[in-house]
Amino acid sequence: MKKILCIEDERFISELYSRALRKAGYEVKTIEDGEDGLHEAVNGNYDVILLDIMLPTMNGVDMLYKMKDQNVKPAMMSKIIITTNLDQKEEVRKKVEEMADGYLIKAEMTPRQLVEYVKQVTEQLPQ
Amino acid sequence: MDYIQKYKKRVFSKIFLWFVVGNVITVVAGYTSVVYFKLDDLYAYGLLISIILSYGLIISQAITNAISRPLDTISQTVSYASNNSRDMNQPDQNNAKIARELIHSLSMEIYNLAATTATETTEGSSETQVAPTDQVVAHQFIDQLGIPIVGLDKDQKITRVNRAACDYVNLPADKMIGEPMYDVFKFSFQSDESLDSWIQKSKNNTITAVRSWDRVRHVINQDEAKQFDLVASFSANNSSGTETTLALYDQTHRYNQDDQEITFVALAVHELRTPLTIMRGYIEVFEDELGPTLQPEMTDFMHKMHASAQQLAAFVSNILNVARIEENQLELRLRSVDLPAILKSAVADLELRASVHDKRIELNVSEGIPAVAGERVSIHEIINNLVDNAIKYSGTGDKIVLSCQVNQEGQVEVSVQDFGIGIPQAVVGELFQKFHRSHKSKVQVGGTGLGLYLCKALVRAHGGNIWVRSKEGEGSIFSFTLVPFDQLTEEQVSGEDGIIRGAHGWIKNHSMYRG
Repeated sequence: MKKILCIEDERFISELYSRALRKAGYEVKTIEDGEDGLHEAVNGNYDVILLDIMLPTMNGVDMLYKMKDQNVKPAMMSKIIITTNLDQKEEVRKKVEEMADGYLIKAEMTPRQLVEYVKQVTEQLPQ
Repeated sequence: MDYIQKYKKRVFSKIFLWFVVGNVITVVAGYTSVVYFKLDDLYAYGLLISIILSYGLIISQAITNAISRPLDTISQTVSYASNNSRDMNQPDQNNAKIARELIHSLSMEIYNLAATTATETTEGSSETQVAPTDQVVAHQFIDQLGIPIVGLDKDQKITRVNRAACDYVNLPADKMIGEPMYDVFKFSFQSDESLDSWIQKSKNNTITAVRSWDRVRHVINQDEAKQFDLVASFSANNSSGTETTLALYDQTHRYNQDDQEITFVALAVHELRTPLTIMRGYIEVFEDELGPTLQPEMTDFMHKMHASAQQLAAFVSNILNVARIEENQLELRLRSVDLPAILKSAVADLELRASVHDKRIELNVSEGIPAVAGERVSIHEIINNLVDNAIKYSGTGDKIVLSCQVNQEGQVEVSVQDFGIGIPQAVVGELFQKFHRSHKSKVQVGGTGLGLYLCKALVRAHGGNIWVRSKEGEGSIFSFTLVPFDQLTEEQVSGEDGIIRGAHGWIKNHSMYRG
C-alpha cells in the first residue's frame, strides 16, 4: 500500500483529502504544522507528500528546499506535490515547480481530481 | 613659480632634518660603543663608518622616493588628461605630502591645457566652445556621480561610461567602450516599447527626446538580476559622438522586496479559495455518496450548487489574472499544445454549468488542427469565459456551439456561438473594455465585466486576435485565433521553456539580440 503524508493546516481540507485518498486505497497521515511535518516527511518514508505552502511554524517553500537539499544524504525518495491556494509570483512559482514533482491549486480541483493526480504520480514510482 | 621655490625649500629642510638626525645617531652610537662597550678605537671607527654608509644609503633612497613622487603624479596626470580619463583613475593629488601645492597647481595647468586642446580639435565653431576647464571638470563630476551613466553613439556602441557604471555591471571601462550596447547590457523592459525601438523612433522623428522606464532589468547571471529605473536622452547630430545618454537609478532592493511581498489581491484570493476548496470538496462527497438516494429535484439542486462553486472558482481566478495584467505580472510560457484536447476538457468542465441552465454545448473540431503555441490553463480560461458568457446571454436558446478550424491565414480559429439576445451594434466596440457590460442585460445577468477584458489580454499574450460578430435577437459569435506552433520562428522558440509572453510586458531590448 502506498503511503501518503498530507501536510495541511486547514482541517476540513485535510479531512476531505485523506478521506478520498483512503477510499482509493492509500495509507494517509495528516499533519497540520510545518516543523512537525518536515520531521515526519524526512523520517516517515512516504511515497507521496502533499505539501501546503501557508503553514504554521515553517512555510512549505522552505520545507521543500530542506527536503530537496542535495547535501542531505540519503536523498528523500518521496514525490512532493505542492497543494496551495496561494498565488505566487511567477519567479517563485517557477522555482518551486522545478523542485517539486507537482503543483496544484486546491480551489481548482476536487478531492476526486486530486486522487486521480496522485494515482498518476504513484504510477511513476517503482513498485 | 612661487610653488617651485616653496617645494625646493621644503626638500632642503627635509634633507637638513634627516642630516641632523643622522649625525645625532652616529654620535650616540660612537659614544656608546667607546664608553660602554669598551671597544678599541679601530673597531669603533670601523663600526661608525659602516653605520654612516648604510644610513647614507637608506637616506638617499628615501630622498629619491620623496622627490620623485610629485614627478610620478604629474606624469600620471598628463596621461590621464590626454587620454580623456577612459581607462584609468584620476591620479590622487594628495599622495605626495611635501609637494601638494606643486602638484595641485601643475595638475590644474595640465587639465586646462588638455581642455583647451580638446575644444580646439572638436568640429564646433567658436560658439560651441566651452570654457577651458569645463570639459575636464565635467568628466570628473560625472565620474564622481554615484549613478551609472552610459553614452551611446549612433550605432548604439558604447562611447563613455562612468565609474559607477563599471561597478554596476562589474566590468572595466575598456571592456565596454566601443562594444555594442546589446553585448554588454541585457536589458528587458516591462512596457510595449524597448530602448532600442525608442531610439529608432527618435532617430526618425526628432532631434532631442527624453524617456524614462520603470522596472528595467539587467540580468547579470542566472541568480542575479539588477532592477532599476532608466532615463534615456537622445540628441541627434551631437558633435561629441555620443547620441544617447543613459542613466540607471538602481532599485534592485526595492523592487525585489515588492516582488517578494504578498499583494492584497493574492491574500484576498487565498482567503477566498480556502472556503471554496472546502465547499467544492464536500459537495463532491455529497454528490458521490448521497446522489443515488436523492429525489430528482434534490439532485438538480446539488448540481446547481456544484456548478455555482465551480463558477466562483473561475471568477476568483479571473480576479487574479486581471490583477496580474494590471501589475504587469502576467507572464505566459507558450508551448506546443494540443488544442482539441484542451477544448474537450474545457467542455467537460463546463457541461454541468451549462446543463443547470438548460443549455448544451456542441463541440465541432475540424480535422487536422495543428499544435498551437499556447498555455493550457490560459486557453482553458478563455474558453471558460466565452462559454460562460454564452450561457448567460443565451436567453431561451438552448445550444452553444464551440468550433475550431484553420482559417485562411493559416491561424487556428476558435469560435463560441450562442443563439441568444445578441449585442446592440452601439456597444460592440466597447465590449472588451474592463467593467463593460451590455447595458440592457444588467438586471437579468450577473457578472463583473472582467471576462472579455481578460480574454482579450490572454489572446493578445498568445499573439492572436479576438473579435465578435453579433446580431440583436439572433445571437453572437466570439472568435479568437492562436498561432500554430510551427509558425513561430526559430528565434522565438530558442528558450528551453518555449517562449515567454506578457500581456504587455517583459520584452527583450533588441529583436536581433544574439544571446
